[in-house]
Amino acid sequence: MPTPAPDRAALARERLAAKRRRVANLRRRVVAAALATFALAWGVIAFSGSMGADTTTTTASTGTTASATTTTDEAATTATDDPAVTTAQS
Amino acid sequence: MSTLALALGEHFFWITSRAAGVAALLASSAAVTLGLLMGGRLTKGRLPDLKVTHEALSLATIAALLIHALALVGDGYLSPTLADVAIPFVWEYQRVWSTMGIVAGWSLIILGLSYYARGRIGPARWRRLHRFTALAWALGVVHGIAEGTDAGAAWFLVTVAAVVLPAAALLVVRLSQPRTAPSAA
Repeated sequence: MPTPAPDRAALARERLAAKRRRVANLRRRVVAAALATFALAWGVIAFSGSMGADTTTTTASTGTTASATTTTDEAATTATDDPAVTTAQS
Repeated sequence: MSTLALALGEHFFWITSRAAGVAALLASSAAVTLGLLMGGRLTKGRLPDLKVTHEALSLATIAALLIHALALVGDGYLSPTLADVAIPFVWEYQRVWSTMGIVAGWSLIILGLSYYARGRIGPARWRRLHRFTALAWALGVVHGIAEGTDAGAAWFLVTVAAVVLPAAALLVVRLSQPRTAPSAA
């Protein structure tokens, strides 16, 4: 007794479904990796305590006069922030 | 614990913006790396999977860029306006580097989304346009290193180097190759 020929349409549907699953899987992985990267970076930044100009979040130097006199060294160490706003996030 | 409390309080938007900037830098670097690999011979059999990953990374980059800019608007200290973070040369804070970041951001968003309009643009023209993504990415890297608050941190430099250097090397290889006649691919 001959075996029935495979249903081509069903095969094609199966392949298409497998492709869709693979694509969805890849997208999920990328989203998960991106979210994990964001969360990790957030955690590292939050726990490192560096908020920009000052070395730690606990350093309290607010006020415009203070910023004018205390930023020289800080700007030299961070080298990335505008001296005008080096007390940012302190 | 006090650091965490501060992070969740007045620094929430500031940290969120920085973290999103880092995520955008990493995702865009990975997308550029994959994009450059897709044109090579090493990845012939994996092209469909690479395309999907490349597209997903591009969309993740766009999402991270939007969070990077919008979260900054919520920051209470710098308190930039939407125009400051969206229009080049408007914000006075580190004007050159900020503008470079804004131009890079818009370029990455527009070039990334142009993929969905390539039917209207025309495949050949879109492909030529798509090459400018590498330039936009390079501007973004410079913005991150020059202006990024974390640019002096070892964790940032090591992480960025790990993703930027392979992409940069592939870009140099691609640019040094003699241009061939356009193929069907």
